[in-house]
Amino acid sequence: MNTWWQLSKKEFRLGLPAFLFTLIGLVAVLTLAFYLGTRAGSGDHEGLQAVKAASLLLITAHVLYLLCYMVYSLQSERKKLHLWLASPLPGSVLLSAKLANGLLAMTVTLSISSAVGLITTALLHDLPKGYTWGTLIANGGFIILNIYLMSIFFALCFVFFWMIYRMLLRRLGGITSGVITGLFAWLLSYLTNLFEKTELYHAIVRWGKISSPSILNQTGISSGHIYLGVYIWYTGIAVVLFAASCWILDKKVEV
Amino acid sequence: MIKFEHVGKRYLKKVALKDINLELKPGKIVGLIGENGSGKSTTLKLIAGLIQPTSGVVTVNGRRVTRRISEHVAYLSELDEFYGFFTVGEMIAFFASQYPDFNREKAEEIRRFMKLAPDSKIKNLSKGNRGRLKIVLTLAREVPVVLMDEPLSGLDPMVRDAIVKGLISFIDLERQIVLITTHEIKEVETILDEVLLIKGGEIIGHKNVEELRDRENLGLVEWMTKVYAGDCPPTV
Repeated sequence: MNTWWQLSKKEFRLGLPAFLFTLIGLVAVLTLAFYLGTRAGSGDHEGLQAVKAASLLLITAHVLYLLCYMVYSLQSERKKLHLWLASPLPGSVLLSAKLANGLLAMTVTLSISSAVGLITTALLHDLPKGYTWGTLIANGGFIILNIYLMSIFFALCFVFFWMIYRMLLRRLGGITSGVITGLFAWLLSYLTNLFEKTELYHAIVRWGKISSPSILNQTGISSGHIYLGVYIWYTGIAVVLFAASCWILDKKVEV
Repeated sequence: MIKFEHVGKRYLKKVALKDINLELKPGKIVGLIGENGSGKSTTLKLIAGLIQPTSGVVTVNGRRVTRRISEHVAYLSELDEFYGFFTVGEMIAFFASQYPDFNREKAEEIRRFMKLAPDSKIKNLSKGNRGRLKIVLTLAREVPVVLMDEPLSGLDPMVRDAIVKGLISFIDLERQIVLITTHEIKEVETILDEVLLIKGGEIIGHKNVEELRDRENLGLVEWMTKVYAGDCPPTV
């Protein structure tokens, strides 16, 4: 446990610039939104509305947070592969330490964005129609959970393709590896898309119907319900991507 | 024991190693010498599991090598990159937490011998001091195989001499085998038991250094020059 903890502390320090950059960016966007809103309208009310809109945008943008964090973290490791790969720890431990730190950093900025969204809603007395604070927090919590799941999924997709790229790099060179990795990513996404239109896919995922938050229905993101089967399906893909990434990291990536 | 069976390694179109067969047993300090690009670093990286052979098999103590052979192999890279945010002391502590075989007391002893301040930030260290830190981190591990890729590179001559002398006292030759690649042949010659000469990805000489000195009256540089020039037959 101490080994993982110390590794995680190293990852925290390695990822600190990315976290601070995001934190500063977040404060800058919110400040700019308030300034522009105040200038465009006649006072603080418009400023707060702009901040609320910006916070909702920032919350949504977190679906890409972990991916961006992993891009930074793995790229930082690129020149230190002789140290990172010479670790006796399995790939799953090395990657999980990075992912855990990314999730921690994401939780901080997502909490700030969500808190700003809630505070501005309270100050503006601007609850969505038919909502109480209870339903808003329950629905918001559901959306936040989905943002986490999507963020983890996208990050694992990136890690997998980064491993493919690194595996090919020493064997085929930078350009060829990049092109092959890109084509492979496109092919996988195309095949997944095709499969998701089949009856078999529907048979696999269409179970465990749950109602989706009305905010999502009103904005057209959801059609009123979500299937639990879809979550299981994507969790399965995420597990396969993670396992494959760890295997490539342990057996195929070269310094 | 380190074993290479028909090992080849290719980078894109460049052949780095050709059909290498080799067995190295513990209890020796082995020098790996040869011109630039001859395959010295590739050989060490293959043993460390940091690259994979294009053909053939590399094993360490009977175990097929992957990067996780690092449980049994300490590797000093020719590269100088570290986690710059650590101090020397933090880097030592980090290594101690990651490698169960890392001897913290020995690391402190070597650090003092190398005259490295524990609170120095790694990003502010000179090239020479980074080289010393690499030696501390590598030799403090109590593993059967120690690989050192150009450990003296970037160090001034006086420091090199001190380090070469220090190497002997920090290595446990009862249980360890040490492989060193270097261009500073004369400086390490006195501590080497065996030497491997590589040219164009092939091992063209494998000698006992003492025998070479006593029987053939040759220093390593002279022997290397002769074999490279073809005045001396390959000895593999």
